[in-house]
Amino acid sequence: MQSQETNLQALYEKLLESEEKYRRFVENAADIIYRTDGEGRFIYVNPVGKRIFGYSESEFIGKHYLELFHPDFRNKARQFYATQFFGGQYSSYLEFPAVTKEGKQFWLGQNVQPLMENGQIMGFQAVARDITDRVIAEEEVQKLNAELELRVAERTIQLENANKELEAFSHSVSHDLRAPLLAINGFTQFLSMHLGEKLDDEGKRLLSVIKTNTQTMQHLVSSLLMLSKTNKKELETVTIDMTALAQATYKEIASPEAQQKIILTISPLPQANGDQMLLRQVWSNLLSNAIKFTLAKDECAIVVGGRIEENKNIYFIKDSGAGFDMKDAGKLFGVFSRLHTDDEFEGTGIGLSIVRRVIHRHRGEVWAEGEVGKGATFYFSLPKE
Amino acid sequence: MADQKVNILLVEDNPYHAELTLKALTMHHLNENFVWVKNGEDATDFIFCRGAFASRSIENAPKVVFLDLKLPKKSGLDVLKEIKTDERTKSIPVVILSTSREEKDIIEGNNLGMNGYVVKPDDFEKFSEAIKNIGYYWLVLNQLPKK
Repeated sequence: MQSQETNLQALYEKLLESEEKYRRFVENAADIIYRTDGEGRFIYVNPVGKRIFGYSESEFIGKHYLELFHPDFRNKARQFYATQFFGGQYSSYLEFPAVTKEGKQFWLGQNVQPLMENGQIMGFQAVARDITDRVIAEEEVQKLNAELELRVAERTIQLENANKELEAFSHSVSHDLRAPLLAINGFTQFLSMHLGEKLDDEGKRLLSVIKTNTQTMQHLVSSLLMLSKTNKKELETVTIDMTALAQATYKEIASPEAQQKIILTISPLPQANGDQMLLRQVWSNLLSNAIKFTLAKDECAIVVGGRIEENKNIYFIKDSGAGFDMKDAGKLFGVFSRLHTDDEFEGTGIGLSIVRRVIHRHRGEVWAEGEVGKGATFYFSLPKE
Repeated sequence: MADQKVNILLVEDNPYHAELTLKALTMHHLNENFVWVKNGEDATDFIFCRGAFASRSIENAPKVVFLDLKLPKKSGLDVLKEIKTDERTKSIPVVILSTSREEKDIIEGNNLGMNGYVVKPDDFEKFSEAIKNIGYYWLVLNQLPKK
Protein backbone atom coordinates (compact mmCIF):
# COMPACT_ATOMS: atom_id res chain seq x y z
CA MET A 1 0.00 0.00 0.00
CA GLN A 2 2.81 2.29 1.00
CA SER A 3 4.76 1.48 -2.13
CA GLN A 4 1.67 1.91 -4.37
CA GLU A 5 1.23 5.47 -2.98
CA THR A 6 4.91 6.20 -3.54
CA ASN A 7 4.57 4.96 -7.10
CA LEU A 8 1.56 7.16 -7.75
CA GLN A 9 3.36 10.12 -6.24
CA ALA A 10 6.36 9.44 -8.47
CA LEU A 11 4.11 9.10 -11.49
CA TYR A 12 2.35 12.37 -10.66
CA GLU A 13 5.66 14.17 -10.28
CA LYS A 14 6.81 12.76 -13.57
CA LEU A 15 3.61 13.95 -15.18
CA LEU A 16 4.06 17.44 -13.74
CA GLU A 17 7.64 17.47 -14.93
CA SER A 18 6.60 16.37 -18.40
CA GLU A 19 3.84 18.97 -18.55
CA GLU A 20 6.30 21.62 -17.45
CA LYS A 21 8.68 20.61 -20.21
CA TYR A 22 5.88 20.70 -22.73
CA ARG A 23 4.63 24.08 -21.46
CA ARG A 24 8.11 25.60 -21.63
CA PHE A 25 8.50 24.23 -25.12
CA VAL A 26 5.23 25.78 -26.29
CA GLU A 27 5.70 29.05 -24.39
CA ASN A 28 9.22 29.59 -25.74
CA ALA A 29 8.51 28.49 -29.32
CA ALA A 30 9.26 31.04 -32.05
CA ASP A 31 5.98 30.19 -33.80
CA ILE A 32 2.50 31.17 -32.69
CA ILE A 33 0.70 28.26 -31.06
CA TYR A 34 -2.95 28.47 -30.11
CA ARG A 35 -5.96 26.34 -29.43
CA THR A 36 -9.69 26.97 -29.81
CA ASP A 37 -12.84 25.28 -28.66
CA GLY A 38 -15.18 23.54 -31.10
CA GLU A 39 -16.70 26.87 -32.18
CA GLY A 40 -13.34 28.41 -32.94
CA ARG A 41 -12.94 30.58 -29.82
CA PHE A 42 -9.46 30.76 -28.32
CA ILE A 43 -8.82 28.89 -25.12
CA TYR A 44 -5.05 29.14 -25.24
CA VAL A 45 -2.46 31.36 -26.96
CA ASN A 46 1.30 31.17 -26.39
CA PRO A 47 3.32 34.35 -25.53
CA VAL A 48 4.57 34.77 -29.14
CA GLY A 49 0.96 34.88 -30.34
CA LYS A 50 0.05 37.52 -27.77
CA ARG A 51 3.15 39.54 -28.62
CA ILE A 52 2.66 39.44 -32.36
CA PHE A 53 -1.06 40.25 -32.28
CA GLY A 54 -0.73 42.72 -29.39
CA TYR A 55 -3.68 41.31 -27.40
CA SER A 56 -3.45 40.60 -23.68
CA GLU A 57 -4.29 37.13 -22.36
CA SER A 58 -7.78 38.26 -21.35
CA GLU A 59 -8.43 39.95 -24.69
CA PHE A 60 -7.32 36.87 -26.60
CA ILE A 61 -9.20 34.20 -24.72
CA GLY A 62 -12.75 33.91 -25.98
CA LYS A 63 -12.00 35.80 -29.24
CA HIS A 64 -13.18 34.06 -32.42
CA TYR A 65 -10.32 32.91 -34.67
CA LEU A 66 -11.76 34.79 -37.68
CA GLU A 67 -11.20 38.10 -35.86
CA LEU A 68 -7.48 37.63 -36.49
CA PHE A 69 -8.06 37.49 -40.23
CA HIS A 70 -8.15 40.50 -42.52
CA PRO A 71 -11.89 41.27 -43.00
CA ASP A 72 -11.65 40.70 -46.77
CA PHE A 73 -10.33 37.20 -46.19
CA ARG A 74 -12.78 35.99 -43.52
CA ASN A 75 -15.37 34.44 -45.80
CA LYS A 76 -12.71 32.62 -47.74
CA ALA A 77 -11.14 31.28 -44.51
CA ARG A 78 -14.48 30.13 -43.15
CA GLN A 79 -15.19 28.22 -46.35
CA PHE A 80 -11.69 26.78 -46.40
CA TYR A 81 -11.91 25.37 -42.85
CA ALA A 82 -15.44 24.12 -43.35
CA THR A 83 -14.44 22.11 -46.42
CA GLN A 84 -11.26 20.86 -44.80
CA PHE A 85 -12.52 19.62 -41.48
CA PHE A 86 -16.08 18.67 -42.18
CA GLY A 87 -14.70 16.80 -45.15
CA GLY A 88 -12.76 14.75 -42.61
CA GLN A 89 -9.28 15.97 -43.37
CA TYR A 90 -6.92 15.76 -40.43
CA SER A 91 -4.66 18.68 -41.10
CA SER A 92 -4.61 21.80 -43.24
CA TYR A 93 -2.28 24.59 -44.19
CA LEU A 94 -3.47 28.08 -45.08
CA GLU A 95 -1.67 31.33 -45.82
CA PHE A 96 -3.67 34.47 -45.06
CA PRO A 97 -3.44 38.16 -44.27
CA ALA A 98 -3.84 38.70 -40.52
CA VAL A 99 -4.46 41.94 -38.60
CA THR A 100 -2.98 42.92 -35.23
CA LYS A 101 -4.89 44.71 -32.49
CA GLU A 102 -3.44 47.95 -33.82
CA GLY A 103 -4.67 47.23 -37.34
CA LYS A 104 -1.29 46.35 -38.81
CA GLN A 105 -1.56 43.79 -41.58
CA PHE A 106 0.87 40.88 -41.96
CA TRP A 107 0.92 37.38 -43.44
CA LEU A 108 0.60 34.12 -41.54
CA GLY A 109 1.12 30.57 -42.69
CA GLN A 110 -0.95 28.33 -40.44
CA ASN A 111 -1.17 24.59 -39.77
CA VAL A 112 -4.47 23.55 -38.14
CA GLN A 113 -5.47 20.20 -36.69
CA PRO A 114 -8.82 19.30 -35.15
CA LEU A 115 -8.81 17.94 -31.60
CA MET A 116 -11.00 14.84 -31.59
CA GLU A 117 -12.73 13.04 -28.74
CA ASN A 118 -14.95 10.04 -29.41
CA GLY A 119 -15.17 11.00 -33.06
CA GLN A 120 -16.34 14.51 -32.21
CA ILE A 121 -14.42 17.72 -32.96
CA MET A 122 -13.78 19.26 -29.58
CA GLY A 123 -11.58 22.08 -30.76
CA PHE A 124 -8.62 23.03 -32.94
CA GLN A 125 -4.96 23.58 -32.38
CA ALA A 126 -2.77 25.57 -34.70
CA VAL A 127 0.84 26.51 -35.28
CA ALA A 128 1.32 29.68 -37.27
CA ARG A 129 4.36 31.55 -38.53
CA ASP A 130 4.88 35.10 -39.80
CA ILE A 131 5.61 34.70 -43.53
CA THR A 132 5.32 38.39 -44.45
CA ASP A 133 8.90 38.67 -45.75
CA ARG A 134 8.46 35.69 -48.03
CA VAL A 135 5.08 36.84 -49.35
CA ILE A 136 6.41 40.33 -50.05
CA ALA A 137 9.44 38.84 -51.81
CA GLU A 138 7.13 36.65 -53.88
CA GLU A 139 4.92 39.58 -54.76
CA GLU A 140 8.02 41.51 -55.75
CA VAL A 141 9.15 38.65 -57.99
CA GLN A 142 5.71 38.42 -59.56
CA LYS A 143 5.66 42.15 -60.14
CA LEU A 144 9.12 42.06 -61.69
CA ASN A 145 8.13 39.12 -63.88
CA ALA A 146 5.04 40.91 -65.07
CA GLU A 147 7.09 44.03 -65.78
CA LEU A 148 9.68 41.96 -67.57
CA GLU A 149 7.05 40.28 -69.72
CA LEU A 150 5.59 43.65 -70.56
CA ARG A 151 9.01 44.99 -71.45
CA VAL A 152 9.82 41.94 -73.58
CA ALA A 153 6.50 42.36 -75.39
CA GLU A 154 7.22 46.05 -75.96
CA ARG A 155 10.71 45.35 -77.21
CA THR A 156 9.44 42.59 -79.47
CA ILE A 157 6.98 44.99 -81.06
CA GLN A 158 9.73 47.60 -81.44
CA LEU A 159 12.03 45.02 -82.97
CA GLU A 160 9.35 43.77 -85.33
CA ASN A 161 8.59 47.31 -86.41
CA ALA A 162 12.28 48.07 -86.90
CA ASN A 163 12.60 44.88 -88.96
CA LYS A 164 9.61 45.80 -91.08
CA GLU A 165 10.98 49.29 -91.64
CA LEU A 166 14.37 47.93 -92.57
CA GLU A 167 12.71 45.47 -94.88
CA ALA A 168 10.65 48.18 -96.55
CA PHE A 169 13.75 50.35 -96.74
CA SER A 170 15.98 47.81 -98.45
CA HIS A 171 13.13 46.82 -100.73
CA SER A 172 12.39 50.34 -101.86
CA VAL A 173 16.07 51.25 -102.08
CA SER A 174 16.77 48.34 -104.35
CA HIS A 175 13.70 49.04 -106.47
CA ASP A 176 14.04 52.77 -106.69
CA LEU A 177 17.72 52.43 -107.51
CA ARG A 178 16.89 50.42 -110.58
CA ALA A 179 15.14 53.22 -112.45
CA PRO A 180 18.15 55.58 -112.61
CA LEU A 181 20.39 52.60 -113.20
CA LEU A 182 18.57 51.69 -116.40
CA ALA A 183 18.89 55.31 -117.52
CA ILE A 184 22.63 55.49 -116.76
CA ASN A 185 23.23 52.16 -118.42
CA GLY A 186 21.12 53.00 -121.47
CA PHE A 187 22.51 56.46 -122.14
CA THR A 188 26.10 55.31 -121.58
CA GLN A 189 25.53 52.63 -124.15
CA PHE A 190 24.15 55.17 -126.61
CA LEU A 191 27.07 57.44 -125.96
CA SER A 192 29.55 54.71 -126.77
CA MET A 193 27.51 53.54 -129.79
CA HIS A 194 27.04 56.93 -131.42
CA LEU A 195 29.88 59.05 -130.14
CA GLY A 196 32.41 56.33 -129.32
CA GLU A 197 34.39 57.00 -132.50
CA LYS A 198 34.71 60.69 -131.73
CA LEU A 199 36.14 60.10 -128.25
CA ASP A 200 39.88 60.01 -127.64
CA ASP A 201 41.47 57.25 -125.57
CA GLU A 202 40.94 59.06 -122.26
CA GLY A 203 37.27 59.64 -123.19
CA LYS A 204 36.84 55.96 -124.00
CA ARG A 205 38.51 54.99 -120.72
CA LEU A 206 36.21 57.26 -118.74
CA LEU A 207 33.22 55.70 -120.48
CA SER A 208 34.38 52.22 -119.60
CA VAL A 209 34.82 53.28 -115.96
CA ILE A 210 31.17 54.37 -115.95
CA LYS A 211 30.10 51.07 -117.52
CA THR A 212 32.05 48.96 -115.02
CA ASN A 213 30.64 50.88 -112.09
CA THR A 214 27.13 50.64 -113.47
CA GLN A 215 27.54 46.89 -113.64
CA THR A 216 28.79 46.79 -110.05
CA MET A 217 25.76 48.80 -109.05
CA GLN A 218 23.49 46.40 -110.93
CA HIS A 219 25.00 43.46 -109.03
CA LEU A 220 24.59 45.26 -105.72
CA VAL A 221 21.01 46.15 -106.38
CA SER A 222 20.02 42.69 -107.53
CA SER A 223 21.83 41.13 -104.53
CA LEU A 224 20.02 43.52 -102.19
CA LEU A 225 16.75 42.57 -103.82
CA MET A 226 17.60 38.91 -103.36
CA LEU A 227 18.41 39.55 -99.71
CA SER A 228 15.10 41.26 -99.12
CA LYS A 229 13.29 38.46 -100.96
CA THR A 230 14.87 35.78 -98.76
CA ASN A 231 13.29 37.52 -95.80
CA LYS A 232 9.85 37.92 -97.29
CA LYS A 233 9.37 34.63 -99.06
CA GLU A 234 7.16 32.11 -97.26
CA LEU A 235 9.06 28.89 -96.63
CA GLU A 236 7.74 26.05 -98.79
CA THR A 237 9.21 23.06 -97.01
CA VAL A 238 9.82 19.86 -98.96
CA THR A 239 12.26 16.97 -98.69
CA ILE A 240 15.33 17.79 -100.74
CA ASP A 241 18.02 15.54 -102.20
CA MET A 242 20.94 17.80 -101.27
CA THR A 243 23.50 15.78 -103.27
CA ALA A 244 21.52 16.32 -106.46
CA LEU A 245 20.83 19.97 -105.62
CA ALA A 246 24.51 20.72 -104.97
CA GLN A 247 25.54 18.97 -108.19
CA ALA A 248 22.91 20.69 -110.32
CA THR A 249 23.69 24.09 -108.85
CA TYR A 250 27.41 23.65 -109.48
CA LYS A 251 26.81 22.73 -113.13
CA GLU A 252 24.57 25.74 -113.50
CA ILE A 253 26.92 28.34 -112.07
CA ALA A 254 30.43 27.10 -112.86
CA SER A 255 31.78 28.27 -116.21
CA PRO A 256 33.12 25.55 -118.55
CA GLU A 257 36.69 26.74 -117.80
CA ALA A 258 36.05 26.53 -114.07
CA GLN A 259 34.57 23.06 -114.42
CA GLN A 260 37.62 21.94 -116.33
CA LYS A 261 40.11 23.39 -113.88
CA ILE A 262 38.45 22.53 -110.60
CA ILE A 263 38.40 19.06 -109.14
CA LEU A 264 35.02 18.82 -107.46
CA THR A 265 34.16 16.01 -105.06
CA ILE A 266 30.62 15.75 -103.74
CA SER A 267 30.11 12.99 -101.18
CA PRO A 268 26.56 11.73 -100.62
CA LEU A 269 24.82 14.35 -98.47
CA PRO A 270 22.06 13.91 -95.90
CA GLN A 271 18.59 14.82 -97.16
CA ALA A 272 17.18 18.12 -96.01
CA ASN A 273 13.76 19.51 -95.21
CA GLY A 274 13.54 23.02 -96.46
CA ASP A 275 12.66 25.50 -99.15
CA GLN A 276 14.11 24.26 -102.44
CA MET A 277 14.49 27.70 -104.01
CA LEU A 278 16.17 29.27 -100.98
CA LEU A 279 18.49 26.32 -100.36
CA ARG A 280 19.48 26.37 -104.02
CA GLN A 281 20.48 29.98 -103.41
CA VAL A 282 22.62 28.83 -100.45
CA TRP A 283 24.46 26.28 -102.57
CA SER A 284 24.77 28.78 -105.38
CA ASN A 285 26.33 31.46 -103.17
CA LEU A 286 28.65 29.10 -101.30
CA LEU A 287 29.77 27.27 -104.44
CA SER A 288 30.35 30.44 -106.42
CA ASN A 289 32.39 31.79 -103.51
CA ALA A 290 34.46 28.61 -103.46
CA ILE A 291 34.93 28.76 -107.24
CA LYS A 292 35.89 32.44 -107.17
CA PHE A 293 38.54 32.01 -104.49
CA THR A 294 39.86 28.70 -105.80
CA LEU A 295 40.34 29.66 -109.45
CA ALA A 296 43.14 32.05 -108.56
CA LYS A 297 45.22 29.09 -107.35
CA ASP A 298 47.15 26.57 -109.47
CA GLU A 299 45.59 23.57 -107.81
CA CYS A 300 41.87 23.91 -107.51
CA ALA A 301 39.89 21.49 -105.40
CA ILE A 302 36.45 21.84 -103.89
CA VAL A 303 35.06 19.21 -101.56
CA VAL A 304 31.39 19.09 -100.62
CA GLY A 305 30.35 16.79 -97.79
CA GLY A 306 28.02 16.31 -94.89
CA ARG A 307 27.21 14.30 -91.81
CA ILE A 308 24.22 13.37 -89.72
CA GLU A 309 24.15 14.37 -86.07
CA GLU A 310 21.55 13.74 -83.38
CA ASN A 311 19.14 16.59 -84.13
CA LYS A 312 20.68 18.15 -87.19
CA ASN A 313 22.42 17.54 -90.48
CA ILE A 314 25.65 19.35 -91.22
CA TYR A 315 26.87 20.30 -94.69
CA PHE A 316 30.21 21.77 -95.68
CA ILE A 317 32.04 23.19 -98.68
CA LYS A 318 35.80 23.11 -98.46
CA ASP A 319 37.97 24.90 -100.98
CA SER A 320 41.69 25.23 -101.61
CA GLY A 321 41.39 28.95 -102.27
CA ALA A 322 42.61 32.17 -100.71
CA GLY A 323 41.23 31.35 -97.27
CA PHE A 324 40.85 33.93 -94.50
CA ASP A 325 42.20 34.81 -91.09
CA MET A 326 40.08 33.24 -88.32
CA LYS A 327 40.04 36.57 -86.51
CA ASP A 328 37.89 37.85 -89.38
CA ALA A 329 35.46 34.92 -89.14
CA GLY A 330 32.84 37.11 -87.45
CA LYS A 331 32.80 39.57 -90.35
CA LEU A 332 32.15 36.98 -93.03
CA PHE A 333 28.37 36.90 -92.87
CA GLY A 334 27.59 40.61 -92.41
CA VAL A 335 25.90 42.63 -95.16
CA PHE A 336 28.44 44.48 -97.34
CA SER A 337 31.31 43.10 -95.28
CA ARG A 338 34.16 41.96 -97.48
CA LEU A 339 37.58 40.58 -96.63
CA HIS A 340 39.12 41.20 -100.04
CA THR A 341 39.44 44.23 -102.27
CA ASP A 342 37.89 44.29 -105.75
CA ASP A 343 41.40 44.03 -107.22
CA GLU A 344 41.80 40.66 -105.51
CA PHE A 345 38.31 39.26 -105.85
CA GLU A 346 35.09 40.76 -107.15
CA GLY A 347 32.02 40.65 -105.01
CA THR A 348 29.18 42.60 -103.49
CA GLY A 349 29.57 41.39 -99.92
CA ILE A 350 25.95 40.26 -99.80
CA GLY A 351 26.22 36.61 -100.85
CA LEU A 352 27.12 35.19 -97.45
CA SER A 353 24.58 37.31 -95.61
CA ILE A 354 21.93 35.82 -97.89
CA VAL A 355 23.26 32.37 -96.94
CA ARG A 356 23.04 33.21 -93.25
CA ARG A 357 19.50 34.58 -93.50
CA VAL A 358 18.24 31.57 -95.42
CA ILE A 359 19.83 29.13 -92.95
CA HIS A 360 18.59 31.09 -89.93
CA ARG A 361 15.10 31.07 -91.38
CA HIS A 362 15.41 27.28 -91.48
CA ARG A 363 16.49 27.41 -87.79
CA GLY A 364 20.00 26.26 -88.70
CA GLU A 365 23.46 27.69 -88.13
CA VAL A 366 26.31 28.86 -90.37
CA TRP A 367 29.99 29.08 -89.56
CA ALA A 368 33.35 28.95 -91.28
CA GLU A 369 36.93 27.88 -90.73
CA GLY A 370 39.91 29.06 -92.68
CA GLU A 371 43.57 29.90 -92.87
CA VAL A 372 45.14 32.54 -95.08
CA GLY A 373 46.37 30.94 -98.31
CA LYS A 374 45.18 27.49 -97.32
CA GLY A 375 41.51 27.59 -98.19
CA ALA A 376 38.27 27.91 -96.32
CA THR A 377 35.50 25.60 -95.18
CA PHE A 378 31.95 26.86 -94.87
CA TYR A 379 29.51 24.87 -92.79
CA PHE A 380 25.78 25.06 -92.37
CA SER A 381 23.44 22.94 -90.32
CA LEU A 382 19.74 22.26 -90.74
CA PRO A 383 17.47 20.76 -88.09
CA LYS A 384 16.29 17.22 -88.93
CA GLU A 385 12.61 17.97 -88.44
CA MET B 1 -4.25 66.85 -131.21
CA ALA B 2 -5.64 65.64 -134.50
CA ASP B 3 -7.22 62.25 -134.63
CA GLN B 4 -4.06 60.57 -135.77
CA LYS B 5 -3.50 56.83 -135.78
CA VAL B 6 -1.70 55.54 -132.71
CA ASN B 7 0.28 52.33 -132.46
CA ILE B 8 1.84 52.58 -129.05
CA LEU B 9 0.69 54.76 -126.16
CA LEU B 10 3.48 54.92 -123.59
CA VAL B 11 2.44 56.02 -120.11
CA GLU B 12 5.70 56.81 -118.30
CA ASP B 13 6.62 59.55 -115.82
CA ASN B 14 10.38 59.03 -116.05
CA PRO B 15 11.49 61.04 -119.14
CA TYR B 16 14.73 59.08 -119.40
CA HIS B 17 12.90 55.78 -119.50
CA ALA B 18 10.50 57.24 -122.05
CA GLU B 19 13.43 58.30 -124.21
CA LEU B 20 15.11 54.91 -123.87
CA THR B 21 11.86 53.18 -124.79
CA LEU B 22 11.53 55.34 -127.88
CA LYS B 23 15.20 54.73 -128.78
CA ALA B 24 14.71 50.98 -128.40
CA LEU B 25 11.55 51.10 -130.56
CA THR B 26 13.37 53.21 -133.15
CA MET B 27 16.27 50.77 -133.26
CA HIS B 28 13.78 48.08 -134.21
CA HIS B 29 11.66 50.26 -136.53
CA LEU B 30 8.65 50.07 -134.27
CA ASN B 31 8.45 53.79 -133.47
CA GLU B 32 5.81 54.78 -136.00
CA ASN B 33 2.73 56.51 -134.48
CA PHE B 34 4.21 56.54 -131.01
CA VAL B 35 2.61 58.71 -128.32
CA TRP B 36 4.01 59.39 -124.88
CA VAL B 37 2.01 60.74 -121.91
CA LYS B 38 3.60 61.48 -118.54
CA ASN B 39 0.89 60.59 -116.05
CA GLY B 40 -2.21 58.49 -115.45
CA GLU B 41 -4.59 61.42 -115.83
CA ASP B 42 -3.30 62.18 -119.33
CA ALA B 43 -3.41 58.49 -120.18
CA THR B 44 -7.14 58.15 -119.44
CA ASP B 45 -7.84 61.53 -121.06
CA PHE B 46 -6.12 60.20 -124.17
CA ILE B 47 -7.94 56.85 -124.19
CA PHE B 48 -11.35 58.33 -123.39
CA CYS B 49 -10.81 61.47 -125.54
CA ARG B 50 -11.20 64.04 -122.77
CA GLY B 51 -9.49 67.32 -121.92
CA ALA B 52 -6.54 68.01 -124.21
CA PHE B 53 -7.52 64.96 -126.26
CA ALA B 54 -11.22 65.81 -126.71
CA SER B 55 -10.80 66.04 -130.47
CA ARG B 56 -9.84 62.37 -130.71
CA SER B 57 -12.38 59.63 -131.30
CA ILE B 58 -12.54 56.69 -128.93
CA GLU B 59 -12.65 54.17 -131.80
CA ASN B 60 -9.19 55.29 -132.79
CA ALA B 61 -7.60 53.31 -130.00
CA PRO B 62 -3.88 52.57 -129.67
CA LYS B 63 -2.82 49.09 -130.76
CA VAL B 64 -1.14 48.64 -127.39
CA VAL B 65 -0.59 50.62 -124.19
CA PHE B 66 2.76 50.38 -122.39
CA LEU B 67 1.89 51.29 -118.83
CA ASP B 68 4.20 52.15 -115.96
CA LEU B 69 2.71 51.49 -112.50
CA LYS B 70 4.22 54.17 -110.30
CA LEU B 71 2.67 57.26 -111.77
CA PRO B 72 1.79 60.65 -110.35
CA LYS B 73 -1.88 61.74 -110.03
CA LYS B 74 -3.46 58.45 -111.04
CA SER B 75 -1.74 55.11 -110.51
CA GLY B 76 -1.06 52.66 -113.32
CA LEU B 77 -3.49 50.16 -111.81
CA ASP B 78 -6.24 52.81 -111.77
CA VAL B 79 -5.59 53.53 -115.44
CA LEU B 80 -5.73 49.81 -116.19
CA LYS B 81 -8.99 49.47 -114.28
CA GLU B 82 -10.64 52.32 -116.19
CA ILE B 83 -9.61 50.91 -119.55
CA LYS B 84 -10.63 47.35 -118.74
CA THR B 85 -14.01 48.15 -117.18
CA ASP B 86 -15.29 50.21 -120.09
CA GLU B 87 -16.95 48.24 -122.88
CA ARG B 88 -15.56 50.63 -125.48
CA THR B 89 -11.93 50.23 -124.43
CA LYS B 90 -11.57 46.90 -122.69
CA SER B 91 -10.14 45.18 -125.77
CA ILE B 92 -7.15 47.55 -125.90
CA PRO B 93 -4.09 45.48 -124.96
CA VAL B 94 -2.31 46.89 -121.89
CA VAL B 95 1.19 45.71 -121.02
CA ILE B 96 2.60 46.78 -117.69
CA LEU B 97 6.24 47.85 -117.68
CA SER B 98 7.58 47.97 -114.16
CA THR B 99 11.00 48.42 -112.60
CA SER B 100 10.24 45.61 -110.20
CA ARG B 101 8.49 42.34 -109.85
CA GLU B 102 5.80 42.96 -107.27
CA GLU B 103 3.65 39.93 -106.59
CA LYS B 104 0.64 41.91 -105.42
CA ASP B 105 0.80 44.18 -108.48
CA ILE B 106 0.98 41.17 -110.77
CA ILE B 107 -2.02 39.57 -109.07
CA GLU B 108 -4.04 42.77 -109.08
CA GLY B 109 -3.05 43.60 -112.66
CA ASN B 110 -4.06 40.13 -113.69
CA ASN B 111 -7.44 40.43 -111.95
CA LEU B 112 -8.01 43.72 -113.73
CA GLY B 113 -7.28 42.10 -117.07
CA MET B 114 -3.78 43.27 -117.98
CA ASN B 115 -2.32 41.67 -121.10
CA GLY B 116 1.23 41.34 -119.81
CA TYR B 117 3.64 42.27 -117.03
CA VAL B 118 7.23 42.93 -117.96
CA VAL B 119 10.03 43.84 -115.56
CA LYS B 120 12.28 46.42 -117.19
CA PRO B 121 15.78 44.93 -117.24
CA ASP B 122 18.30 47.44 -115.86
CA ASP B 123 20.74 46.55 -118.59
CA PHE B 124 19.91 48.53 -121.73
CA GLU B 125 20.63 45.73 -124.18
CA LYS B 126 18.19 43.45 -122.42
CA PHE B 127 15.74 46.31 -122.05
CA SER B 128 15.90 47.03 -125.76
CA GLU B 129 15.40 43.35 -126.56
CA ALA B 130 12.36 43.22 -124.27
CA ILE B 131 10.83 46.34 -125.86
CA LYS B 132 11.41 44.89 -129.32
CA ASN B 133 9.71 41.62 -128.41
CA ILE B 134 6.67 43.26 -126.84
CA GLY B 135 6.33 45.81 -129.64
CA TYR B 136 6.72 43.21 -132.34
CA TYR B 137 4.18 40.90 -130.75
CA TRP B 138 1.45 43.50 -130.22
CA LEU B 139 2.01 45.59 -133.34
CA VAL B 140 2.83 42.93 -135.89
CA LEU B 141 1.79 39.46 -134.78
CA ASN B 142 -1.28 40.09 -132.70
CA GLN B 143 -4.68 40.36 -134.38
CA LEU B 144 -7.36 42.50 -132.76
CA PRO B 145 -11.10 42.23 -133.48
CA LYS B 146 -12.38 44.58 -136.16
CA LYS B 147 -14.40 47.47 -134.71
